[in-house]
Amino acid sequence: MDNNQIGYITGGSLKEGFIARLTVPPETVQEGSFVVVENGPRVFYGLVTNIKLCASDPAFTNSFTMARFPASIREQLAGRTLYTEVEIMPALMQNIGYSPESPEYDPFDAGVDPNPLPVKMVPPHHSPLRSAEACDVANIFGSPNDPKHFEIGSTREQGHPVAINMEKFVERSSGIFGSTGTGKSYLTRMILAGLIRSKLASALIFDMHNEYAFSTASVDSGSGGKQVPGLKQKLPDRVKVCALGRGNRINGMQPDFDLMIEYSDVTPADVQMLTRELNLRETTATTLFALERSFKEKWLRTFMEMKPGSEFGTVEEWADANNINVAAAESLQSKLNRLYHSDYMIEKTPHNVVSQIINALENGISVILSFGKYQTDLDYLLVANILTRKVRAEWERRSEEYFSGKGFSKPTPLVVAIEEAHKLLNREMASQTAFSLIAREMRKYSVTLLVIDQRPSQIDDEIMSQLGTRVSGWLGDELDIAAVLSGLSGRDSLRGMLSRLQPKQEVLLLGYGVPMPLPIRSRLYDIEFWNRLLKNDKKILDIPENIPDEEDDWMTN
Amino acid sequence: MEEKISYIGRMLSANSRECVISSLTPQQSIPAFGSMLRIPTGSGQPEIYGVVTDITLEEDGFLRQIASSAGISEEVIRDAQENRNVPIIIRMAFIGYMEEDRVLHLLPPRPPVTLTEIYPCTPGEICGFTRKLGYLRLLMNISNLPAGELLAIHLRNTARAHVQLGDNDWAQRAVAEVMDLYADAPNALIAVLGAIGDADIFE
Repeated sequence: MDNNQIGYITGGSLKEGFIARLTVPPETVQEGSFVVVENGPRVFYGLVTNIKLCASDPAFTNSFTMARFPASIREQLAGRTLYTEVEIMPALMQNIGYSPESPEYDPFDAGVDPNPLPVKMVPPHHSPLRSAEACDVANIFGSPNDPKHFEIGSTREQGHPVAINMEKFVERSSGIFGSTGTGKSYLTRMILAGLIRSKLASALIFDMHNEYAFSTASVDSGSGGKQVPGLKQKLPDRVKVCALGRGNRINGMQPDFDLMIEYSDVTPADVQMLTRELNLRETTATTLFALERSFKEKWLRTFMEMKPGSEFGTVEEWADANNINVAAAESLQSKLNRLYHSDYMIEKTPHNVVSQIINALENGISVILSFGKYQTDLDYLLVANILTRKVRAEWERRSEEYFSGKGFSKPTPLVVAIEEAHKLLNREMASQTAFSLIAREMRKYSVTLLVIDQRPSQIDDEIMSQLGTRVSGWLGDELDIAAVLSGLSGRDSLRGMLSRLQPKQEVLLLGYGVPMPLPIRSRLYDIEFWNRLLKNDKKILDIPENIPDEEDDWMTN
Repeated sequence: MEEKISYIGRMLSANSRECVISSLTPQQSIPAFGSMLRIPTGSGQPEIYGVVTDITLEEDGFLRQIASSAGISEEVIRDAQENRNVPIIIRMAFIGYMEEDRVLHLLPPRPPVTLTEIYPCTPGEICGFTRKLGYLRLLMNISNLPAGELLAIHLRNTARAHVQLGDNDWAQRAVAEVMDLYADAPNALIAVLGAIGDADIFE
């Protein structure tokens, strides 16, 4: 028997998965274990989805019955009549050819598959089952040493490194999910660091809580509030930080530029998106579009400068002239005051910061938009939507130019990372925001979303179904679990796996960007993470040897 | 001087599964229940192996008189027990045979001829025949007998022979074989293991 063997196949089907009997103690295998079934030159890769204690007869499970026998007989009897069965969800298979030691080895075997394929057959009875080894993991998920791959964690039992293919990750929109406190933000930081390092795409990160750019104090219990470094500090040449509003510092640090929003940047659709935040009525849409019709892009400024009363240039006069209910118009003006008087709203910006952001992104520099003191949903929704709309339009234009032969090169792939994504992509707002279009249609223009959220069930179903790669930590709510698994095969098997992840550090990889689902132990966001990432970086990018390490021992997750 | 005989009796009758032996030995020396016997048939015929499955001490008229009389001295009783050759009938179930130095755990092709001498097995013969465990299948299928009792005492005796010749694991293997043979009969297995447990075969 192979030393690594943990069992053998006893039954199963393509529809219901394989069944294997374990030859090792039941606690050796966990739900979600990555296992390999071997059958000559062909191997099947799968996940353990259920572990069942079985007995050849119920009488042997009775401890009183067993207690009647001497210990030597009892142990022997238990070994023969009590056993563990595992259910395996087959994911991939591959003809890897016979090993060179085998008499059937053929170096020119034409049947060898260069890549794993979906499972289309079942292994015969008694095919040996073993835990996946590092080479199996690397064969399926790719080598962590490959610059296009990012080591996101390791298998839970054996600790073999698991990498994700960043090229595939950015090809379609992706999502990072998990209940609060499951380490989503740290995981996102690591993935973004890997993405930025890979140079496969630039990222526009909407950092609502000022976590990604500069050091923040860890909120984890037991961490003592130690400082956790941000992306700007560790990747200064590849990250620009933009702060909302003029002269604001982010976590005490100076941003690269300030973002101000011009009144003319705000469209009626932007305001409609804020219906809940501004407590707008259903009739608002009519008023807003009448305003736009009257004043074009200057509608907001003009409307907000209108005086009360009934003379020329007042709200009443304008409303009457445009068949708009006066009370509705006056109410809207009052409600828009909050938006209009925000510090970051301005008539005309001295510098075209949006252009600077676009240029940076186009040049492979990632941009983190930190919201600083502007922490309300209104600020987040409005600014994120406006900026994304402009960036998206630019990418669309450049892509069209490229496709029509006018542009020199295809635009740099762009990933727009949004936290609290359900605020922008919920069912009521999904059709109104710039993000939903990205999720649905922007893949061809090289713009994708990285959705980060703790309530995936609140996100529009269509958008969820468009997400390619999904990385999910523990989720308690059944609806959230169902949302994360929407559109994926093997949902029933994966549902339990997702709900039984450890609350910290364990995540389930799913979807387009990974060859097969796999629960993993995610890496720690610690000094070791950065040292390894930047060490690899130096080989590729010639980054100086003396990486600043002002914080020590801020390991957290 | 009385000639020492090594055989324990002669076969009276037989069929393909078992035979009946009339024992010559005194009551104290009769082979134990579950012990192994062999029937060397000679002239190219296979040597048949079996296990004692039943022992009957028959009475004669004199014993009946002693038993039913009052006031018989201890000396007379002991004399009857030790010196009197009462008819002893031993039933032996076949568990295999040896043909051209090859052990076959199968029923013999034909029964031995009547009045053939029956011998007790030596530890070496026991170990040689029971090295493989297929014969346990025949043992557990003997009808009209508490299989657990027979298996338990047989395993105990045989394990001792193996330990004597240096094989300490035989008992473990034999119990495992019993478990496999009773895989489809959990209640019977529990009863058999109960008897084996009582026999202290791993002591």
